[in-house]
Amino acid sequence: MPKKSPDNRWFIEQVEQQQSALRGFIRMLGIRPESVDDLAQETFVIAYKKLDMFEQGTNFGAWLRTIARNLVRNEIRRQSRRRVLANEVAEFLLDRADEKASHPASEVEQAEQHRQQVAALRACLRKLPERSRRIVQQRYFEDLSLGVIAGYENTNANNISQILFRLRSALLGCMKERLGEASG
Amino acid sequence: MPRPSKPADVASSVDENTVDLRALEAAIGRIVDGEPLPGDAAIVVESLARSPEVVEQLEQHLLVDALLRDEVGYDAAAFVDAVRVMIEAENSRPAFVTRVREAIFGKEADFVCPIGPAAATGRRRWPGLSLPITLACTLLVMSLLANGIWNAAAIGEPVMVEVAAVDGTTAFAVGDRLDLRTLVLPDGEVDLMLGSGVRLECQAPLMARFEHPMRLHLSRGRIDIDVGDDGAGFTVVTSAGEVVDLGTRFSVNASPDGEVRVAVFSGQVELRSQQVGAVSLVDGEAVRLTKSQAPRRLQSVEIRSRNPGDRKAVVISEISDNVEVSKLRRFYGLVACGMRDGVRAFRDRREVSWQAEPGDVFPDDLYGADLVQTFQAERFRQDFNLQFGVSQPSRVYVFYDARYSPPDWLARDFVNTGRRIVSTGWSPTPVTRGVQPDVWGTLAIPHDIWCRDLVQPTMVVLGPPVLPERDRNSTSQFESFVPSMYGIAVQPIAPPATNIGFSRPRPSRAKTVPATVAPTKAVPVATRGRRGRP
Repeated sequence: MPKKSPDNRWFIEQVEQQQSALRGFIRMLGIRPESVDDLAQETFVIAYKKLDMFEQGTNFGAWLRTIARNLVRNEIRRQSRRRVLANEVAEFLLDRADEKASHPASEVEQAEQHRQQVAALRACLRKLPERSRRIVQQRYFEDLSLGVIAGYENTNANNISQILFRLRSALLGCMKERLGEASG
Repeated sequence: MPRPSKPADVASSVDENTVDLRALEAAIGRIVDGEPLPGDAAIVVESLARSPEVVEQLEQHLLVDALLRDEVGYDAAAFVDAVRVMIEAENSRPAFVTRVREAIFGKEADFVCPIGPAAATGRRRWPGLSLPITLACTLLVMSLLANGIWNAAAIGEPVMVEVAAVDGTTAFAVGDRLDLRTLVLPDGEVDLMLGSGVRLECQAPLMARFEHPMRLHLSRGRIDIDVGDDGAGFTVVTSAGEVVDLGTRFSVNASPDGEVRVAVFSGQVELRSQQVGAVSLVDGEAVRLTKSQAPRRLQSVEIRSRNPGDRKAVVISEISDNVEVSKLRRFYGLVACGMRDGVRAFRDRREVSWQAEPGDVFPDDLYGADLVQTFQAERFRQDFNLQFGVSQPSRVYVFYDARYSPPDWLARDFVNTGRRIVSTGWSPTPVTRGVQPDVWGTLAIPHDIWCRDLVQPTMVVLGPPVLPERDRNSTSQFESFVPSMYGIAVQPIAPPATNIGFSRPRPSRAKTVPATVAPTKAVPVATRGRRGRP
């Protein structure tokens, strides 16, 4: 069982390795983007406090995701509109995550899958046309609202949302193609 | 004539399906974007129940959204640091509870306090009073834990500080070690170091009181706080709310009318007020608030230069822009006498600094100029403008992205000196498109130095960093690329002795320079003695 060493080195290494995938997982449960970090940090703190209960050699990432699911469940129960996008939608997503958790892939498989997804996304981002890249930058790097981006692009917020939807769909298609090629 | 009835056929049902699909995709898109319309959740939930493909689609969009946020601009190191701070706070909790218990009952106490993680067994000392004492113990520990106090030495005892720097006051001397409960500074500035490593840079007039080493009540004045490695959780309490550090350097300024100004120079703080609950501010953000008013953007913050030079009063004042976005909290950093080789360039790009062009020296005439640290976030706005006051005859410099033709307002009102500096230390982002890294892998954007002489105090208005009208794509102006935000510095022309005490334009002379005034021709730059560099 990993002990809480005086410098918590092991645990911090786990934070570094797992933080990106955990944030992605929490986001996929329907949490508002601005609350993902809070919940991810809470997940790690709870994991640290209960580290004595973690069985070494088992899937640490899956254990983190169990904690995260419980935190999200609490948010949904509290009808927390501040953190949850739409409670009914989040419940669906949470149920699906619970189902998947009963058949977890190994930790190595999950880490490798996340790495491949990131690599595929990077390659696909380079293929985006200039205007699409600009909107991606405005939305994800500058963290601008739909309305503000709409102002820059001389359109309305609804159109920007549709553009982002098509953008994400295109990136997903590109990523699937690359991941399909990678797996042969 | 009656209207023909609408034929019910396949085409119609296909149209309905197409409309349904579009409505569903639009609803999914808005939910993923975090800005759903009323009814969007119902549309999506109904589809989720009917079709597993919709669940998959929603999950995939949320996943790509998360990957994009991570890929395009996420500071993973800051996240890991924040978690490290939190688990270190968890580690200190048991020791604190023990010290509280010892402070109340003494080191050899064998009293069983049922609250706390290290309940010891033993004989009760006051069996007749067990219930009231248990309740008192519970209430005390719960209230102290709720306030986040980690040091029992604070209870009823002053706080040990060491005076690290003094300027303009005789109330303190460098090297003094003092037990302070109340801090009153009528004039000058003093820097204090606490045992926890927290550094307080105090500016008069100031009144503050320590509740304990990690909690300070600020009634009046400005304190810039650098919490170092061990001071995370340091809290400043004001009349408008509490500012809790999360591992950072920040400033709190309380004025006698009850307004409090908070600015974050690095890291993150949490602002807690009755108006909004808890609000996070990150590096480059600043707000002003009162007890009855929610936080509003604070547009400019004076930042103490590490190389203050000879001048005390800033030449620049009243910096503001015309951006009205409710979530925008970015501020302009005003660094008096702050311009130098290696100074931070932008308030929202921590690692980027102004430097000399490779192989060249940093222009002498820029050293010690008042520096405005702008930010990149709003540079897309075609109608952006920024204005500031200049309190005395000065040379205004604009450092404009040399990769692009200058905008019309710059070419009209300023003169290109023919010299350059660079903003360097960029991470690969769209703004560095086309920039080749140097041999060390560093990305640097060249900036032309433009200048304009002002012969009297005035207001200066600058426009957006956009391509000139003639260079924009004729079919769509939004296909044009966006230069980096520009930098600004102002160097007084008159000797410092004539300007002491004036930091704002005199109303009788301040006026906006009309657009039709021809720019001052570039004059030979006076050679200045090189100022000491840190």
